[in-house]
Amino acid sequence: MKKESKKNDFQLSPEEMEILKKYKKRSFLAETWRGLRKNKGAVIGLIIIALIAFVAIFADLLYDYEEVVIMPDYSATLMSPSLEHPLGTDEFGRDVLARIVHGARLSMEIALLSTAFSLSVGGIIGAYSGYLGGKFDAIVMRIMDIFLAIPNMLLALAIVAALGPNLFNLILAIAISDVPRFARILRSTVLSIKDSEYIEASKAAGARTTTIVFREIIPNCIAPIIVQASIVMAAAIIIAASLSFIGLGVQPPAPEWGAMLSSGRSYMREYNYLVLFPGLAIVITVLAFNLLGDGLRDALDPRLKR
Amino acid sequence: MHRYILKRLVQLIPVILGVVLIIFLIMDLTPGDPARMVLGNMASEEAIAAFREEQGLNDPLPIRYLRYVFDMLRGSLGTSYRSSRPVIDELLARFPATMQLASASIIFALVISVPIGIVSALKQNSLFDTVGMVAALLGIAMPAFWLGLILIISFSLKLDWLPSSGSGSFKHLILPAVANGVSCAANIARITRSSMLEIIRQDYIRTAKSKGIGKMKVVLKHAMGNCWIPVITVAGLQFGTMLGGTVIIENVFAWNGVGDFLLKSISAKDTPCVLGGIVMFTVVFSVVNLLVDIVYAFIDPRIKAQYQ
Repeated sequence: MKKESKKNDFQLSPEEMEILKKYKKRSFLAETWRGLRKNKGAVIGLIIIALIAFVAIFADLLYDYEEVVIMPDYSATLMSPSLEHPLGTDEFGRDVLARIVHGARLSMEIALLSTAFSLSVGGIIGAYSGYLGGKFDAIVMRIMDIFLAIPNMLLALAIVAALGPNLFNLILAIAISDVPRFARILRSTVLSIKDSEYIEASKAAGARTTTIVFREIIPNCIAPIIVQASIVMAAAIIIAASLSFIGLGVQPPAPEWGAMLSSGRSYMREYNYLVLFPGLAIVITVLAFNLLGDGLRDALDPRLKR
Repeated sequence: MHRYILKRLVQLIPVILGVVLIIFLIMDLTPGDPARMVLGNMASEEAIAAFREEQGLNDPLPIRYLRYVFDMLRGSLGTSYRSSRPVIDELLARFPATMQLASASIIFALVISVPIGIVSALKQNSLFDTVGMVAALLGIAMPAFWLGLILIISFSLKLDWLPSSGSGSFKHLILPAVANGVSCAANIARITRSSMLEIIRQDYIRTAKSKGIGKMKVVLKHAMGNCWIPVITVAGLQFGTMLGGTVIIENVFAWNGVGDFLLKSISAKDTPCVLGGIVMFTVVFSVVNLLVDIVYAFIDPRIKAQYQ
């Protein structure tokens, strides 16, 4: 066997071909999954997120929005958890579990949309900034630094306070406050790959800057983007709940978790489950995203493994 | 060393000007006429026009921004629409309460998190480590305001040990400081553990150990020196998150500070107070970041050496 392959350097043995195929087949996703599977926390996080996403998508089939989640039922107000209402009912007689289920949809929407916005805007800014360098980079990064000097929550608070509290403005506020984070991450990743041969090759082949940024640079920054996205989504859920809690986010009667806590607060002496359950929903969701984020970081970036 | 501090102070100026500009621009988006808001719907057109003229509301945005900055340098942040008192007086009256809460939170966070992080690292994969790190994960996932509510239910309403609202005594401080400090503590514990894990595998620690120095001394004297740098970085960043959290924690505990005042100003549409409050918070955050950088210079000989 050995002799054969030595004779002709360009001819691979069937075994070697098999090995090569195996490596070729392993795409980015498969590679990530392999790393992720070994991390118990990440798997738990992923399962929880999948469950919450499932519940969020099929919320309407589980509980009717108008009839169960919004419509008051004054014959069943403030009932403690029972078989009929596993998590009890609120001051308007609405089933707390049904509201938490529909709240999952809201929280996921807010987290996904705000992260998608900040990721694309921040990502493009960061990628161009890192790739172009020079004055453009210096100016853009100074602006990002100024945004980063304002604590996230306060920036989001200022935006909602100015634009008025509703779902759209809440998403926009969270998204804007996360833009610099993505810009920073993308920029530093771009700086590390900017001088790679494949980029040189693309440049030599006459590709335009836009082509290089979108075709070569951004796809190679996927790993840090995914890690950052899961962390940002966790933070977005907390900020959304916090702002809704103080009346500057989603408005009642919408079943947002923070808004539910805000109204449950008046009854917490006698009916503490009204404060307990929506809060637990937040904790579990945020925990799942953080676990997944930690696992992804370990799987995608072995240098950061601790 | 003085040169370093001076340099950092100078760098702070454009950041603060930029921060004020951003918040100024955002607050300018507020719909509605401030003059109408202050004088009410019954006010005559002349009164409205006079108010706009007096407050300089008719000037273009750049002029208003520059005037705001110059006023700020002279220690004025405008006048409250509600109370007609200077915004700066309103803020300064409440500032000590907020700083008291914020510093209590960060002290609480450091005191519990650093030892937990160190012990977790030294006894990696032990029961203590596992429990500690699961607790840290939970601490990060918990919204501070919810923890605040749970603490009120347990320690005020059920056990009746601590007051649920108000400020003034040490007893009033405990629950809000814990609620506000837990996620910060969780983050610091995690970073302490991971940087300690990295440090105790270094050669100089092995050398120190092989010289026969006691384990405690190796950790406290040799390892901690390098461990502080990431810990202080994270603590500084967390301070910003915590200042943001203060706004909501003050609301939960009816703590009469800048955060609570800011929320009341938002619902009253008192724009000068909202602007002033957010500017004050961000300036405090920038100054804390500056202090963190200066502390670095003291504990990190590499930075110190550059300026000597």
